[in-house]
Amino acid sequence: MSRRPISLPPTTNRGYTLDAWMEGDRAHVVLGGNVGLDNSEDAGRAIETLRKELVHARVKEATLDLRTLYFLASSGLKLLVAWVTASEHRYPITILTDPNLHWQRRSLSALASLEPDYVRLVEKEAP
Amino acid sequence: MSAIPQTEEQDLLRMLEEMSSTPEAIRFLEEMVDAMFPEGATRERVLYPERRGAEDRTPEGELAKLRARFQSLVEQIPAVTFLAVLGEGENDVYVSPYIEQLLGFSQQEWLDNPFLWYWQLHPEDRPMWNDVFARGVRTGGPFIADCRFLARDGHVVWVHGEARLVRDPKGRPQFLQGVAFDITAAKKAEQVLVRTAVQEAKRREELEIARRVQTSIVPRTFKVPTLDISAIMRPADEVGGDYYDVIPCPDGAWLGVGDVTGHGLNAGLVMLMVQSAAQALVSAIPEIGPADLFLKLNRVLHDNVRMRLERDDHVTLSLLRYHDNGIVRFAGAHEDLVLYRAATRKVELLATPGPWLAAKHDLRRAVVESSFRMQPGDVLVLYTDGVTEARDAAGRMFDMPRLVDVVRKTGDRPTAEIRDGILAAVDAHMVRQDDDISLMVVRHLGGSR
Repeated sequence: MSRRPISLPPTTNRGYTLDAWMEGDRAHVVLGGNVGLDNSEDAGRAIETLRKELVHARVKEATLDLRTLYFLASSGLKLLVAWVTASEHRYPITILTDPNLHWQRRSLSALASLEPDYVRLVEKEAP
Repeated sequence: MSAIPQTEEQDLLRMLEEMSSTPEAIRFLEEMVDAMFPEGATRERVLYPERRGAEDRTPEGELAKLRARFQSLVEQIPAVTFLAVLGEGENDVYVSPYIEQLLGFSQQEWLDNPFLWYWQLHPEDRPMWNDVFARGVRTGGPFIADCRFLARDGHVVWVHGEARLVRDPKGRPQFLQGVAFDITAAKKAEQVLVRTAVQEAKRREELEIARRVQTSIVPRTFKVPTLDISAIMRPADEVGGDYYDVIPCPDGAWLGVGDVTGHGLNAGLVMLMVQSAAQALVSAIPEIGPADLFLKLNRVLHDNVRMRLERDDHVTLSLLRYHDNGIVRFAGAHEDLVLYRAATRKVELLATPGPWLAAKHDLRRAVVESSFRMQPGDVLVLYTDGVTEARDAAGRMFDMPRLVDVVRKTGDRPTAEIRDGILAAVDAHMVRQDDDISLMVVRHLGGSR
């Protein structure tokens, strides 16, 4: 199945990467690097745009690969909360996590607990 | 009242000639041109254009030079020069052509209507202008004012005006002469700076209020007979909404630790709501358990944060019900609990499963209640991410292994020393404090009441 990239606003502050594409009606998102105080605003815009794009595309399912995301500030977590709890278009989200990253184990389980019917955590070490 | 007709050039030139004959007037013009043309060569060209040609020292030649000098001055400077003849029955005025570029009205319109300048003066600036004028007349000048004029199309032009009185040899006022510059760009820049400064001052004030809210609500003393507690909260510049509390109850105490996701005054307000609502709930329902307390608190906070404050913040929060027999039940997601076992001198990390507070209205399916038991001498360390996420110059976080290491090494000491040891290690590690730092060190002493 061919990949169709999802266009995102250009990043102005390095330190993180965000790639997203569609395969059929399934979305794949890879967020990596560090999202901290210095770039959380920039990353927030990109994540919010992405969330709206996925609603607009009426995705059936999404995979969010965070295995190379070494740090996510609380402002970034707020955006993920908004993403998984948004009610305008519900779809299952599989979050790939790295069990070796302490913040992921601590925060992503809390995130997933908000929507147990839609959000699933899969522990898998980064490639 | 009559304006000076342009056709009466001779009158105007005579007036200029008279005006220029006073040393005071020449000095004023030179100062004015110096201010506008700091480069010497340009100044020469503007003030003394006749010096470029052959010298003519006849009276006619001198007069021609004078005319040329003023003509050049009036036409070349990017400012308005003006004068008004002062004398009984005399109301003549002159204004240079640059006025049209400045305010959109032609030179002729200004000359035809001696009141036009006052009509175009911004109504809010008229009292100030009147004051300046009255003071200048009283003292003989100079008249200096920054004021707003309304251009022909209605837009506001900021003008810096300076004028002086020119007197005759007997000291009687003859002319009021002056110059006006467009300072709109500078004023706008100044307004931006002032606005920025005001916003910054307001932000600082808000942060100070937030800091006071946050630090004044934390408990000062800990009256739980079976616990030895030491705690500290050190807010960052951008107050981060940290929370900790100890609420004694008949067979132990409630312990709470949390962190609002936002910063500043809103975070402080949310923290205040958490503290107040939790205190009210445990007072009203003494038998309430941690999961139930978390759910009830969530209902209150979710509605307040999302609907009243219209914020999207949530709170990492663990509520722990300590019983004096050492059993601790807890609910709500925050940082891992760090538990020092006195008997083995080992540190255990206990995850805090469940949801964050105020992230969603109904959390019944998400809340988990867990428990552990403290033995006498065991130490529980509660903290916020300001501790574990403090960064060194290379960007490395203080993180869990360092925290665990300090607790392991100091776990047998009094709680105040454990607290200070952690704080000292964090301070030694971080280059600057970006987030609130909160620490609560609790030792179970054993023996129930």
